[in-house]
Amino acid sequence: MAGVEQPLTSKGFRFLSIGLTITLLLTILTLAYSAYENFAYISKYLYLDESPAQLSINGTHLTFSNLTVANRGVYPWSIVLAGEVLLQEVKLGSASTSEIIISPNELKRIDLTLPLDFTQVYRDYNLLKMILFNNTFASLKFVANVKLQPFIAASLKGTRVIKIGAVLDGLTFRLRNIKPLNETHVKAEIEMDFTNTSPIAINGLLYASLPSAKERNLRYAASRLEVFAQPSQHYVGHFIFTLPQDELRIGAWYGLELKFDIFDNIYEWRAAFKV
Amino acid sequence: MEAPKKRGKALVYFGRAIQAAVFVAINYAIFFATPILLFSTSGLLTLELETAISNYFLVIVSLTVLHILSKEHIIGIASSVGLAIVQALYIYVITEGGELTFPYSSPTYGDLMLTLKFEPIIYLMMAIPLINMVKQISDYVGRSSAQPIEMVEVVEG
Repeated sequence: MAGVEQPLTSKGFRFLSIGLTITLLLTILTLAYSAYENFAYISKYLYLDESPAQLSINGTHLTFSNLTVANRGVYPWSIVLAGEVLLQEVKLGSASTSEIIISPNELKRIDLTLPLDFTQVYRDYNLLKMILFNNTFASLKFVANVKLQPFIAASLKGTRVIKIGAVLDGLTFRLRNIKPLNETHVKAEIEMDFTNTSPIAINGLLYASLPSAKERNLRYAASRLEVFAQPSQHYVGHFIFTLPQDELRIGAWYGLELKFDIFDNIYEWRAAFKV
Repeated sequence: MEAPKKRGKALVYFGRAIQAAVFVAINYAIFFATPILLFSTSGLLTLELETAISNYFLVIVSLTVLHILSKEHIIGIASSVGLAIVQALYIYVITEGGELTFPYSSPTYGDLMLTLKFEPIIYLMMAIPLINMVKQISDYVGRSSAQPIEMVEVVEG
């Protein structure tokens, strides 16, 4: 029996189907190879923490540096790294890199610098209180958009938590000395000290007043104190009060009323010291 | 004359049954075992997805068997068309249109979300059964139009 010859269209579809199948198989194999090689490399970064990438923060910028990415696959990569820093729900800053193309067997270093703006934090009374006196956490939300051109687009989203220490950590007030000024008044020197454990350089004016223990509605004001402390700096400052001789009694506790003016945002609180 | 004809027909169907069994095994590997393995390894296998894969697999197997057993019949062609559509739909549905999200946990970076978009590959995968479907229809139409006209002698009484 003679074989029936297939029509030309049928042959064409068959060749097209075989061609597509071969293309698909080759694409999947090469992609699987690239994905395996690159995933193994990235996993080392993400899971075993062998990444030389460093995260540093100062008062004005957060820098994600020394992130080296090697393309071990067969397809070129394009990467866009974007980040956003938040303190609670307040956005401090965001930035992204331009599109970085990494060819096969190429290694590139990626740095991302995010400018930080604390203005919104200073305006929020509760947040201001938190950063002044408590340790807190900022979060860096990052997105790495990777394209294995032209077949796969991957998006890696994550959050890294950054500890932020208190600006006025260990803030204490103590009476340093009392010196007679004249027959009726004395000069009381109150020392204040703290360590700025935050990454923010703090710069503000501190106003202190001492309510009289004898007369209601009477307050003694000290000269204002300009407070400027860099991150990790131990700060020591002094208030000078001119008081009636009999205002302070040895062994008694006194309450200071304080106003901290930080970029025209005022935080008020009370602190005690012992004579 | 009738006995060899029946035996020949039985042999044809026996051959087709073996072919169907081979295709069921191939379909099991492609449309059931491999996706289940891949999804369970990547932690994306849910009960819902497993049910969807099983249901699609059953439909694919049924249509494959029907197509192979009744090749020259219209039912065979219809099941072939249905099979191609179901396969394309299956590929699209279980890959969520070519966009999958994997949760990943890192001690340094916490919980990460990896979203993969691979539409070009999905369209390429879907194109293969659809081209086969067009081929089947084209073959059937070609075969029908090339059918010889049977001349029957009419004997007048």
